[in-house]
Formats: sequence, C-alpha cells, structure tokens
Amino acid sequence: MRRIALVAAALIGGALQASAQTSMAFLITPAELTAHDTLRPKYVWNVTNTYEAKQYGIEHVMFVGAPLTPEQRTAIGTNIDVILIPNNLDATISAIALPQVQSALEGLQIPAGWVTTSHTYRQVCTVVLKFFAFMNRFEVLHQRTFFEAGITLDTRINQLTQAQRDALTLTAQSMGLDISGITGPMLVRQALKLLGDQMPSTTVMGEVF
Amino acid sequence: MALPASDSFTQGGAGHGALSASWTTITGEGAPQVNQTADVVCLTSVGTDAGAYWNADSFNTDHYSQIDVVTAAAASVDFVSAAVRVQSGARQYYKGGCYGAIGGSVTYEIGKRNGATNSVLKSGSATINANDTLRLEVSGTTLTLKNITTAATIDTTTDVGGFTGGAPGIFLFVDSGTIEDSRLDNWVGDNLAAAGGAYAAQATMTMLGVQ
Repeated sequence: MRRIALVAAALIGGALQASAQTSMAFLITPAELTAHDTLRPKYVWNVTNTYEAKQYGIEHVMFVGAPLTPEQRTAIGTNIDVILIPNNLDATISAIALPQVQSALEGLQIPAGWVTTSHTYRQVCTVVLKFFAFMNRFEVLHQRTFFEAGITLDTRINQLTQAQRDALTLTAQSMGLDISGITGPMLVRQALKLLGDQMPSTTVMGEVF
Repeated sequence: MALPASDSFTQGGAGHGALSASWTTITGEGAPQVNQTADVVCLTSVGTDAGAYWNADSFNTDHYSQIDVVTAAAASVDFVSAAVRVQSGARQYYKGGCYGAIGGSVTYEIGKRNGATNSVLKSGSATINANDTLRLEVSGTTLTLKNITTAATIDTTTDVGGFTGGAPGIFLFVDSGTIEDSRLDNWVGDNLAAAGGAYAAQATMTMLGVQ
C-alpha cells in the first residue's frame, strides 16, 4: 500500500492535524454544494483540501482521489452514499463483493452490468471514469442531464426522442467516437459501454486509470 | 493585435474604471474593473463574481492565461485566478488560482464553471506570495497551474470531454470584505507552443545514412 507522509498539516475547519501517515484513497461520493456555490466532494473537502475530482456530468457524483489517514478513510467509508474503493486497486472483485459493486454503481446511474469477478477494481474504475468523461461532455454541450425524466440505463435507444438521440450522437461525435455500432434496440447502458470502450485512459492524483 | 496579448491595466486617474475594449465580460459574471490609482484589477461589487476574456486576438484551443496575484486577503472568501477556454456567450470556462491569505501557504484550485455548475477539479496547498505570477495552461484535456515566479508547477489535472476553443481571461471574487480584497495585475495570454516543434514526428534522425 502506498503511503505518503505529510509533513505539512491538513486543515480541518482551521484546526491543525498533526503530521499523519496517509495513503491515496479513491472513492465515489456525492458532489456537495459548498460556500460560493462550489461543488466539492462530500466528506472529503472538509477533512483535506488536497484532492482531485472527476464529476459524472451533471449528476453531482464525483470520483475522487485524496490522501487520507486510515481513520479518515474508515470514517468516510461508513457513509451510505460513499463507494470506497479498496486500497489494492489491482485486486479482482470477489464473488461476494460483485453484487455490491454493481448495485452501488447502478444506483448512481453508472452502468455496471458488465463487471465480473475477473475484473480488478482498477479496471472497473477505468471504465467508470470513461462514463464520467462522456457525461462530462454531454453536460458541456447540452447544459442538462442525459438522464431526463423517463430515461434510465435500461431505456432502449429507439425509445429516446429524436432530440435525445441527437444529443447523444452529437456528444459522441464531438469526442471522435464511432457510433456506428449503436442500434435502436440497444439499451442505453450498452451504448454507453460501447462508447466508453473507445475512450482513452485518464489519471486521478497521478494514478492511471 | 499580435500575440502574446498583455495588459498592465495602467490607466492613470484616481478612481475606478472599466477594463479596456479588448476585454469582454464573461457571460453570467460581473465585470471586473481597474483601480486606477494602483493600476490593478479588482471587483466592482462584493459578492458578485467578476470575470472577463480577451477579445482582441484569436487563440488556439491550447493556450495560457497569466496574472500577477496582487491581493487575496482571506481564505475561503477571496479568490484570484487566470481563466482559459472562456466560451463566448456562455458561462463556461476553466479557472486556476488561489484563495487568500497570500504570503504563505494558501489553497489553490483548478476549477470549472459550466453554466449553473461550479466545481473544483483539483485542490491543494501551495506557497504563493504577493505579486507572484500564476499561469494556467490548457493543452488538450490537461490543465496545469504554474507559479512562474518560483518556476514551480503547482498542479495539473485533466478534464476529458470538457471545453475546447475559447479565449484566455481573468476571474476573481470576494464573498465578504471589500472590492480590493482580491486584485490582480499584468495579465498575459498566448498560445501554447506545439510540443516538440518541427522534429516531433521523427523518432530518429539520419545523417549521411548513419543512424
């Protein structure tokens, strides 16, 4: 497990935390509205000001990397709306953990039916971050959520309105993605996975996903 | 006009005046103004964010915006930043700068404004002193915040699927205090040089057939 020794203090509401052993933690947490109407990662921003966040479009969910102490990690992980990713990113997902992982992601409108016990947590995070990037682009272009009323991951492409299909197409094309494999009967979750598979890797706090 | 574009905000006078005609107020933001005594940019109204982008030149999608951080008086409520990929006619841009109180370790942020959504992409602590020059660069999907005065890269982040095009500019706010609590000066904006120059595509070079 990587450890980063902090010589400087992490601010908590003005109080200083003595030099603490931290390790890089990755989690999915709600984006919380803070002072100045700024969205920050819930539970993280008020224990450390050192983090990197990727937002799931306009869904107010963030994938976050932040150096946390074991105590901070445990405390944040107890929150029901947090998905705390195990320290060992390269461990495969156990049969016991698999439904929990899938349920947690699907609950946030993040497709997870493709996840199996042969995937590592890093591989899952990599794909999840590609979904994040796509929805990021959708929000930039259209200033609204993709998941308008009536649209779920199980909506078929041919059930979307023409305007919704056009918005999806425009988003994909603006990112140089090939939409030729998307068919009418295809589910939204399948289409997003097809598009996501074409996208490049990214980094969060220097970790490659 | 020719690049690099720059503005020292030197206007003369003893009051406050508007930025020159080379600046356009960012859609949805308030207009910054010039303190004509100090020849620096400050806010027009406390509690109203202020931002503007340079309209007198065209920029590549990869460019930078650079400012001198003159004043950021207090933590959490005073913020001074450079802005890049500011979109015309929309409240969309990236910003990179710091909160107060400058003159030691402060919180820096690389953030993103997308309409009603204002979010932090990367945050941390760095030492930034008064009149340090901060530069926010954007290349592809990578944003890099630098302290030019100390020759330090403060931090970097990516925003895949984010903005393209646009222009460099400035952004600042004061949530409580006075309009002079956040101030900047000596703005510069320019395109980023293409990586590698003319030889970037060549993995090897031969001379007289010898590798």
